[in-house]
Amino acid sequence: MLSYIVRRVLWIIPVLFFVSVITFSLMHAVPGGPWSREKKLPQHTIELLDAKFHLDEPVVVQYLNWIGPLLIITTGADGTSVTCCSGILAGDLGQSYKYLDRSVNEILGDGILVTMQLGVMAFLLAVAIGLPLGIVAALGHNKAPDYAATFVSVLGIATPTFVSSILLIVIFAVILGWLPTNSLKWESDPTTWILPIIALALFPIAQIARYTRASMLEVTRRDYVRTAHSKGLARRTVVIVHMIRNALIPVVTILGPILAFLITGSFIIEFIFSVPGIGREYVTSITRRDYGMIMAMTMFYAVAIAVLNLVVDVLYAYIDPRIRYS
Amino acid sequence: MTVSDPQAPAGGAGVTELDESVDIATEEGRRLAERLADNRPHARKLLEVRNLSTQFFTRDGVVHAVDEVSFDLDYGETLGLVGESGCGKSVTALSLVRLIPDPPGQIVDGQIIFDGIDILKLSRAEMRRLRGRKIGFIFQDPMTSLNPTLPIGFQISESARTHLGLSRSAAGDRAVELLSKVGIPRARDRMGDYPHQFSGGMRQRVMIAIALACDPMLLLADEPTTALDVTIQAQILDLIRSLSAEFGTAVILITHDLGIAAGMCNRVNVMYAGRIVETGVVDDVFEKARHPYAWGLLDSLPRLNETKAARLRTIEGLPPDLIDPGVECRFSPRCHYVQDKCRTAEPELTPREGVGHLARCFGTEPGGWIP
Amino acid sequence: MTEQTGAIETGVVLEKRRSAGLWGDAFRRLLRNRLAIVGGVLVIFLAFVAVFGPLLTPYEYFHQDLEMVVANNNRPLTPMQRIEGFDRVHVLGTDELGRDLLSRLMDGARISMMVALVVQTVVLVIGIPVGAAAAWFGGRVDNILMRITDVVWAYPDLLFIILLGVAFKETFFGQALDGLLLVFVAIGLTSWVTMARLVRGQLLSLKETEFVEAAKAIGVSDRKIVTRHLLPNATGPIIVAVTLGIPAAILAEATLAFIGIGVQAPRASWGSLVADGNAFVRSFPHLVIFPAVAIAVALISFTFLGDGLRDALDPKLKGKQ
Repeated sequence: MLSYIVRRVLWIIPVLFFVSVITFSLMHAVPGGPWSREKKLPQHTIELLDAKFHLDEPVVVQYLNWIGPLLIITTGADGTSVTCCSGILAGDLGQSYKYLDRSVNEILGDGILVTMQLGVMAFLLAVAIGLPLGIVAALGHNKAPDYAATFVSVLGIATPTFVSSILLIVIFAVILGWLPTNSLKWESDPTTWILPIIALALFPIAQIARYTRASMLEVTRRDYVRTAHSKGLARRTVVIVHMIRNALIPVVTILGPILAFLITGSFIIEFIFSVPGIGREYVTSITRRDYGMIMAMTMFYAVAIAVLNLVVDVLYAYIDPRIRYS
Repeated sequence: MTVSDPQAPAGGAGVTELDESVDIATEEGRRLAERLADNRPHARKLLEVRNLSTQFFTRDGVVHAVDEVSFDLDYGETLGLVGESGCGKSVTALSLVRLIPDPPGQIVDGQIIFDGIDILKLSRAEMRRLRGRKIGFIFQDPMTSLNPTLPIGFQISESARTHLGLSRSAAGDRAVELLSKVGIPRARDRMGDYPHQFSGGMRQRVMIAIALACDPMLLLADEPTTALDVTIQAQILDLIRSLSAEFGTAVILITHDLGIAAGMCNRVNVMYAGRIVETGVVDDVFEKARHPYAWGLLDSLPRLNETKAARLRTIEGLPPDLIDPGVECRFSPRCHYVQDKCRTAEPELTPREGVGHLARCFGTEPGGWIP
Repeated sequence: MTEQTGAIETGVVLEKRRSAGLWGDAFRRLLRNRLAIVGGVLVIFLAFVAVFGPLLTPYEYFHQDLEMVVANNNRPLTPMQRIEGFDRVHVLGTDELGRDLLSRLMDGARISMMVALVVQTVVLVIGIPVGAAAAWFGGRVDNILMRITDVVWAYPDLLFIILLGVAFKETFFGQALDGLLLVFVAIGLTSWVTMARLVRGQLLSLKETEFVEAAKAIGVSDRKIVTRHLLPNATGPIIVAVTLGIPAAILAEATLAFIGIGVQAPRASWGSLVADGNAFVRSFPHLVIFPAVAIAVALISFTFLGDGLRDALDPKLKGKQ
């Protein structure tokens, strides 16, 4: 097991490398640069700016600058000194080309926390509602609970996030006035969390419910359930001890993609609800060719996805005894 | 409370009488005492089945899987239910413990009296108390019949905890005891292992341990060796035989393999198309069979002294569609000895030579046309 | 009176039943599934609307009926609203520029069907060969291909699509089909990984079977084994995956359109219609509701159909075990 984990962790490094290379190339393949504005700046100014931020150097060199050399050897008046790491390996996410006076680290710092909060809370909500919904649906197969739960799931998958966001805002914030219409005050006012989290969680709730239901129905037909009944166990025991346990194992496999969805897809929610997370900057930094932001945010999302998938895979291997002890 | 002679065993194999040698101060002794009390020679039978009919309501029609099946079982007796796939033997066994999936199946008629209790009149809770406690079940495929995500120790002690009210550690001890009894070496070490860590034969032994966990009066074994290698088969059957003898457990052994039935059972019911077509003491049925289907089965067994060129004998044709069984004898389409009488009415089980030997065939009745 | 248990032999051999092939059986099972029928009918309906719809409406999707809007005080028209002096009517109303909503919805249906087609084509064209190659050659090839899928998998989808969209916007490719082809292909490029993994999984389990050994022994070429023997056996799951992948593609396009990426005005996909209508949602909700319903119908129909196909083709459900 341990070697499996270690191997998976090591594989993340080349994967991230390629992600960064692809993004860097694509960025520089796009005509224009961070200085492209509606009103064209004088060529002279552009050249000065490029020189200042080393944008006039070959692309490969720019990439290496971004990664940062592992060692920096500086020879100064007081002898040679060796320091380690600059660039991304030192955690320096680089320079934002829109906010020239702030580094990306500063800009993203607060935003990342907010985005993570949003994603994690939506995830917890999705699991807390989706799992029981799926289980109840399966246990009441072809009867009222099944129809009700299936109806809810169908609504969930039929409604894109942006549609449900709009609907929620219109109903609860504008018409009923129970909740704020946007989340600009995310940090100070928790009521601003409610609508975005619900809107974000709707689709995952439906997916989890559907998948859990299918998994439970599968398990119901298994022989070991019949064995459990033949032992004279109470129905509740059979369901909880034997069925749910086995049914949930495959469900874990979809939690990875769902978390990935929640993290990368949250930018729509942040957009609509004005949540001060990093998602909002997402699209704008691309259209503005803000290289520093683009690279940093890509790497953040890629790392998050890779790590989350790893965690889910390890979890899956851990909770299935057939894999754990083989 | 009796106090035993410290030299005498607390009770185990060989103790057949409920007397002073049984020390009910110990748990084992108590169990033995209970068992002996249960198995005292009774005026009644352990199991009386009368006109049991189980049907499945499907889109294509009503399947008469088990049609008016009647038989008895004595305490401690081993009875064989023999027949080919689809004849209704498994459905019969599942009906006895009311484990028929509903929908689409239902026990539509009949009476099942187990140890004086009318099974079909019990509430669900009462039925649950019987299952596992008084009636144990061994299923055909041990790989899929064991929960892959629970340690086997847990799966064995589950019924003991539920029915006998044992504490977790007491149930665990009992499970270890059972594991060694069924022949698993280093039982205590293996309590925490999972089913996939055992071989097929060992898994079936675990299933046997589960079935016998609460010392049931009846063991239903549904093709317990079909999924196993031939060499392992013999071991498992020996195990079932010795355990049932030791604990006085009655066994209903379901199999399509005549050899197994011959070796294990006191009496045999031959089933075909949802009906019992012949029944009797095992020697009578094998040596003095009086039903064409039974002859076909016996005849189809390959024999060692045959020449290599001889083809295997089969019974021509296929079993009938049980959705609309007609009024005729169900075996008549395939029978060599068929006459018009067979196609217009179905024979009843009537006596033949031997105690309790019955067959369902016009032709072999006294005065019939089959010699 | 009885309990739900695991699989059980019904004890029946049915002589009367013709044994149909895999597809005949599956099709019959599919027809019994009511939800799948509903899904299938809706899919056919959507396809019909996509192909013939724009030909049937009196208005074109970009036509601005400014006269009626002006007569309505410069406000969008509600469904079936009659204005004095005009004898024409817009069945679902118009937007603030007088563009007929129904026509635009039909054009949106066209776009959504194109999304489905193009994206799934890309998925099949890339996913099947990659999955098959990984499964068949195994070893290093498998390893390399799986690492490539890891990179694609780890890449934030929308970022990639947006980047591609912006990067190639000015090129010929980017202009094709009003900028839509680019977006569709980009969505496809981020979606092929599950198909590749699925195909790989299916082929891996089939690779070890005896009929493959037999084919090799006879001397059938590798390519023929894969294409004639292995892949056809995986057709069922592939069909299901394609059908169930369509809602995701439509959803992706709608979300991108909502934030302004992909379809360009005056063309409108359902997503951009929602975005446009958002500004008027309180007073003229029809501008948001109808596109939202259209999206919902498309998503639901393909999902039900895909579910039905999956149940119908599931070998475990063939008869009782």
